[in-house]
Amino acid sequence: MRPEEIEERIRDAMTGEQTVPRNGLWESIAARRGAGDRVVFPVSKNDSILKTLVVAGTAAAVLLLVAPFFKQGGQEPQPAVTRGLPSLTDDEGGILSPGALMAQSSATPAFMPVAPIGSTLRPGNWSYASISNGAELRESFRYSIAHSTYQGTATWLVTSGNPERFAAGRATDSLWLSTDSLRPLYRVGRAGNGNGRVEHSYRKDEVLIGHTVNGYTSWTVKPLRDSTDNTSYGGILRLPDLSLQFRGMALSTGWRGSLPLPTENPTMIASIWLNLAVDGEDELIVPAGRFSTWRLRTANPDRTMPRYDPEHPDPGIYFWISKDRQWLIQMSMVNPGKWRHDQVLFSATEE
Amino acid sequence: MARLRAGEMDALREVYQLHATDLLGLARRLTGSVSDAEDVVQDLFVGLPEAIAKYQERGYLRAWLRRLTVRLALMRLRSGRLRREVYLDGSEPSVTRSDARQVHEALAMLGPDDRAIVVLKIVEGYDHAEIAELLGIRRNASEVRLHRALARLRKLLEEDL
Repeated sequence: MRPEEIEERIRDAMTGEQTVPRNGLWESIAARRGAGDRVVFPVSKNDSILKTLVVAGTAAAVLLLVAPFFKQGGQEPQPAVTRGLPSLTDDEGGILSPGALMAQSSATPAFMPVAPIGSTLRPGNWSYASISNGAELRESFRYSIAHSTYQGTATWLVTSGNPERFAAGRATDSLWLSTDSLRPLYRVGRAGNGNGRVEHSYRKDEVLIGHTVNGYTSWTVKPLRDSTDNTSYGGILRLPDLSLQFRGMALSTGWRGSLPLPTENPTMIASIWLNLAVDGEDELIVPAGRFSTWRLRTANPDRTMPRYDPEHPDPGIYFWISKDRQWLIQMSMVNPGKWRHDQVLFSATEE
Repeated sequence: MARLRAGEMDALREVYQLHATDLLGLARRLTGSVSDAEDVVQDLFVGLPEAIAKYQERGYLRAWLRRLTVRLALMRLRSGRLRREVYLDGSEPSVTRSDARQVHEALAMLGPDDRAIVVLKIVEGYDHAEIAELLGIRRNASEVRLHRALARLRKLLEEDL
């Protein structure tokens, strides 16, 4: 088959179809705008050389000023430059670069799956900081763990949100977990600009999902792909979801394990796997104090997901876990020579 | 444009009525799915009043909207493809397929960026410099990847005959 024939077949297949917006599409847009939902568009890497230079210059200044906060071991990955968006999570704790994380994941666990252990949790409060504009280390996200009950059963209650709302008693996300396996039972979170709400009610094999916008709630049911996955949360991947799973891991030199990551498609909630390996040990000084840590790095021995950036190796994703209480002390996403995102433990109290 | 920047819903609706069909078709060709395309168009118009501040009125609004649509579709392709991979169990429907369906299925076998390069170049008529800018790659990389993608498509379509 000649190249022109292939091109013609592609054009014929594509141009013969007319797609008309369905009734209700505009109403959905209007409802989301009305609920305060906003979308930030992706920017091309080539958009502005000037912008890149300005960001790189600012970032270099930031690195110089905050370097004392990041005294780490000799094998710490150090990119030459960084770029904007130093935080890894948004104000709700949602991880901002899930694409890079997912590129490092696999459809099946490469190592022994890690089972979350609820008995290792203790009530307490943890907050994380990112590098804000200029040199300021800003507390950007907080979560707490407390004893609670859900429908008469003892549970862990994990509440989270940005510090201002949290301090005002308006935590933006609440998740009830079984005390043994940390299986999610019920979750209610903020949607849009605070005017909407999303609920997940977890059953044995399915999740009941409610979206409330402008006082109206629509309900859908999605099956769980594997009901034995303890951590099949729907929706975005959040920092507490990851952080709690680290509590049950018996880390040591040479340790490797796979964590289930929640993912949601239009028809079901399923898990993909984040494969981690102990990469070394570091002494870290962060705003919350000095910690002796295990450094974990994502490992992808049997690549099953497309690269994050086809032109370059995937960014390195690192987690530093304290040896004593297995707190998440720092997580970093490092694209050598290009950019780096960090989030560090800002404060912590535990009973 | 000022009304749109001010977030007036009537102005947004006018732009939607003028361009939604064209943008939905473009998103569908890029994503290969009506539901993904609707999500792309929905996200585009939800974010448009804020994004319009960056539109400098030096070019056609339609071309700018199409570029935004391509970027949103690419973002969705890069992550949405993963979700589909988790969901699909590998079974294929065994019905007699039309030529168009064969092409669609062959395109679905390509990586998200390669699919976008094929659609943007062959169907939408973008040149390699524009494609490179949209995908954040070098121009020659766009050319090489188109060549390889077409070779793979030819193999897939010939095997399917």
